[in-house]
Amino acid sequence: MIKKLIIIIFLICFESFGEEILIIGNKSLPVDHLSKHEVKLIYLKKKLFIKNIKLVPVNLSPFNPLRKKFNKYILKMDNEQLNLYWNKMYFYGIDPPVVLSSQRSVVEFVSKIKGGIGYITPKYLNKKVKVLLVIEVEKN
Amino acid sequence: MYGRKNFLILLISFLFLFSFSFSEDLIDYQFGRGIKFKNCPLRFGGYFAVKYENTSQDEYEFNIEDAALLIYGDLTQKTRFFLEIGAKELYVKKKEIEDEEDENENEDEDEDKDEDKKTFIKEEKELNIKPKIERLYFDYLYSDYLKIRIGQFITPIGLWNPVHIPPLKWTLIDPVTATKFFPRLTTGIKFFGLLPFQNETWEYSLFIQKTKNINETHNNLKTDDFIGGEIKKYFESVSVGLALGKFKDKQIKKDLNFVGLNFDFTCTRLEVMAEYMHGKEKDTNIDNNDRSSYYLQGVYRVFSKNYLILRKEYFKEVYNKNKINAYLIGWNYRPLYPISLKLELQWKKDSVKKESEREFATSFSILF
Repeated sequence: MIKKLIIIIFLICFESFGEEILIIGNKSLPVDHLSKHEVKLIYLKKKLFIKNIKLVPVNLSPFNPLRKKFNKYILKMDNEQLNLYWNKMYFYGIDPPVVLSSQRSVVEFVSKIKGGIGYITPKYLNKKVKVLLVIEVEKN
Repeated sequence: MYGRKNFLILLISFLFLFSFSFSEDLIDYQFGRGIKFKNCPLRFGGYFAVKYENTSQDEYEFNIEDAALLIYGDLTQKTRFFLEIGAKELYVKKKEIEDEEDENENEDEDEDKDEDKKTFIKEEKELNIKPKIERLYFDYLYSDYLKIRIGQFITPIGLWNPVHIPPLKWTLIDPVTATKFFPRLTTGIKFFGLLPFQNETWEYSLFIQKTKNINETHNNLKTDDFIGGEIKKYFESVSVGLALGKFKDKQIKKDLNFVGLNFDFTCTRLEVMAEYMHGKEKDTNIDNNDRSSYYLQGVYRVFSKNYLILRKEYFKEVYNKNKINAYLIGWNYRPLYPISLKLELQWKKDSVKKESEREFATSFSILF
């Protein structure tokens, strides 16, 4: 009984680690890899181009758990900090990334828009987009 | 003058008309992020601020201090347009206490001034609804490493000056460091962007002005000859900036040089920022009229949407032997991210006036 319990706890713990976030891009992008820092600059709209292609980052809604993880691991900001950041950018005429409602829409958007960049979990990945970065995050 | 006023009224009416006459599909409005019409590359937004100040000398000021309209957008993939048009101090009601001796400065200086000193109370109301162009520029985005801005823009120096409007500032009272050393606005050309090394963790901006401002009404210092720049390095949660510049002050007709350093540390709940400025007059008969100033400010998110601000500020002017020490405690409540309610208290000791001043200020500001 105790052994079973230990195994269950171990499996739960194991399950809670090791989730991946994939940063995906349109197939026409002339790069195959981005660093975390580059992704951060792209999502803060400080980096606008990759070799003359205008980038179009897309976000999930602020309440989406994957967006919260993306904010935490890539942007290293919470929602309140981001809102203050975008207040400042608004004052300079720079809009935040487009928000889409689901990961499926993100894949669809990125596959169709030339400079499209998004983030998804592996189960939504298909051949219409390419993976630019894989980030290991805690599941919960 | 009236033309501009009518223009603003027309523009606002236009916005309201359109916001009611189109269906939701054709309009994208987000509170605090402006309004955008389908098939129009421009976004329309703005901000508004009202404040109340009271000093230990029983002076007060109620001020509808800012109302501005922003119009901006990407014209093409590589070009952007930005216009800010606004009115400052739309309605001011204030009470000031002034020393009568100020008007008799040339009288015998040996007299005991304290005995003759009389004060009088001045109460006044002002209404000013003349909109002015605050910023007007075009950007050409050649690459991330070279962006070019032409027009009237905010002088890209320091931490405070680039976000000096009430809904964005942490406190209502500006530190002297951000207001006395260089003109807040520049009309000319600016080159800016990332630097292509060290993982793009450096940013630069260089600007030059060789003409009068598009509109200088809202500029703190008037100039038509200004050159400067700043370089900034970003670490994980820290940024450090170094700024240099020189300009001709049209009012005192002197050349001024300045150098500045700034530092910012940010983590989830805390932001610590500091700025130091040193200014020097050139071609002057005075041996040394250097001025320097710094502030150190901490902003702590006590709980969600509520921020405590503590600030120490110092200003020194060599020639006048003037030193100012100021301490500020403030509270900034943001019930919704585009709204800011501020409450603050500042104690200031001025070595020339030889008396401490207390200033209480509160404000409401909003981005829409």
